[in-house]
Amino acid sequence: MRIHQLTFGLIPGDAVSNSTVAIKAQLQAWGVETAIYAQHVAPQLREHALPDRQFLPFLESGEDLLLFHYSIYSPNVRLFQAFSGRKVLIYHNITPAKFFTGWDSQQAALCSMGRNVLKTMTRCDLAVGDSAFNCRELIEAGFDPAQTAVLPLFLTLPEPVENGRTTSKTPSEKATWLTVGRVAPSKAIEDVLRIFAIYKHNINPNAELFIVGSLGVTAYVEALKFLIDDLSLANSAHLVGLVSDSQLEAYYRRADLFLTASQHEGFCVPLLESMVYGVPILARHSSAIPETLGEAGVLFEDLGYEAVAEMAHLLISDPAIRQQVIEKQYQRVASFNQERAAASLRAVLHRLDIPLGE
Amino acid sequence: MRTPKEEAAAIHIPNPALDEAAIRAKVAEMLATRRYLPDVAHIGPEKLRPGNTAVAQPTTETLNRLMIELMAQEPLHEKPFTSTVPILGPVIAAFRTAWNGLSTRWYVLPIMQQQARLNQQMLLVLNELAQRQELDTQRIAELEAQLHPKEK
Repeated sequence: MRIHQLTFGLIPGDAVSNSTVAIKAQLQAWGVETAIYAQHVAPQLREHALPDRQFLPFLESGEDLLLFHYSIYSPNVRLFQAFSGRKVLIYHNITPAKFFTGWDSQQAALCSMGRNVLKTMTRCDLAVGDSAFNCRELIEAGFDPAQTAVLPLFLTLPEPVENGRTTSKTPSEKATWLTVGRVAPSKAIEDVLRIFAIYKHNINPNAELFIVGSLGVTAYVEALKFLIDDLSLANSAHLVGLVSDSQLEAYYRRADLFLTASQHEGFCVPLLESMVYGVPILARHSSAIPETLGEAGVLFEDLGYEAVAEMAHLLISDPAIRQQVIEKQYQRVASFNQERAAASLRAVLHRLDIPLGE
Repeated sequence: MRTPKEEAAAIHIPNPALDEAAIRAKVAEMLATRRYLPDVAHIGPEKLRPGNTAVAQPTTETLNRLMIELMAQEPLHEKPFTSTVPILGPVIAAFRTAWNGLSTRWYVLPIMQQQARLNQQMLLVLNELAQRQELDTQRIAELEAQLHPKEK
């Protein structure tokens, strides 16, 4: 009996890719014969995965188990559907196509196809989501609630960093805002920029904002550049792009505030990274964000730019509020660890009567 | 028009150790006393204004439809040999498969893969050009409106 993992791609710095590789390591530790197959594999991750066509000889392996990671439409959906053994769908969420309409027709088409195809994938032994939010979407797509479960992402987070970030700042000191994630319309970076503009022009003229994440949706990025100019933020708001892990750590260590206005998240790993680095979080109350935060961070439920900017100011400058928020974030992030994820994976495999070593 | 208190009610503090009402009151107090400039909601490209995101223009809709039709084309792949000849059909198909493997497959397959990569890349380029064109058109219209406000 083998456990195969099939995914769209393995990409450095991508949470789903990291989780896939970590699951492989965990399965090997339990003595299971396992491999990852992907349509796209980044050169630096080739040691972890095989091209998905190499999965073809296993299609008729009725004794095997297939874990299929689904986060975007990919032709290898057909391999999942054709596999004759037991299969588990791991749903990482797909951004609704409406966010890309008018910006990136290819992404819109892939997201639309991805969500439509999800409805045809209900014939599986189990469907799991990495949040309760994702599980609800599975049920809405037609999956049997009794055959769904939450399987947390396998995250490799650093140890919490307590480096004096609890220190508050006065409006005359430089304040650094950070937002991390793919620069895409669903992340509503324009709202981040507008909130920051209010703060910068009315509260703290020494503030700066770093927007870190891949700049793949070029039309949207170009529009954001126009907005940055129009808001007179050319010298203080920076579209950084994709960075290495060490550079990302440096941005977190430097940040006084993490802000996300994202309108759609299946989980949102940057929230946990902010917790690790002691950066207070201000986030839009949307999709899976409240679930990931638990009792940590601060949420805004609808958008008054000025009110959110004033809350950001409190999180940066009020020592009592800042300290309480950061402390709760440390407590929250402690509950996300590999042991918990491994126990959940064991429970999922146990439901399918898969024998595992200790 | 919402009052500062109503604006501050959008803030939610999930941490029970913090006094949500007191924090909202602080925010409301600052909202009431500070005079904010500029009016950020009405600045920037039209597509990025509140309530205006994700609006496809008619020309873009046509391009989007064509792009999706292109993407929906079956990717290049090898077709298995078949034969409708009774009884001998499977033998004929197997012979042709074997002969193809020996004579041409090694040569044709890399060309097919190269073509598939090219097709994918062309789609990306076309897509980006279409999006950039739409954005430029909108930007020109906005700048023209700023230059000639009375003609609007």
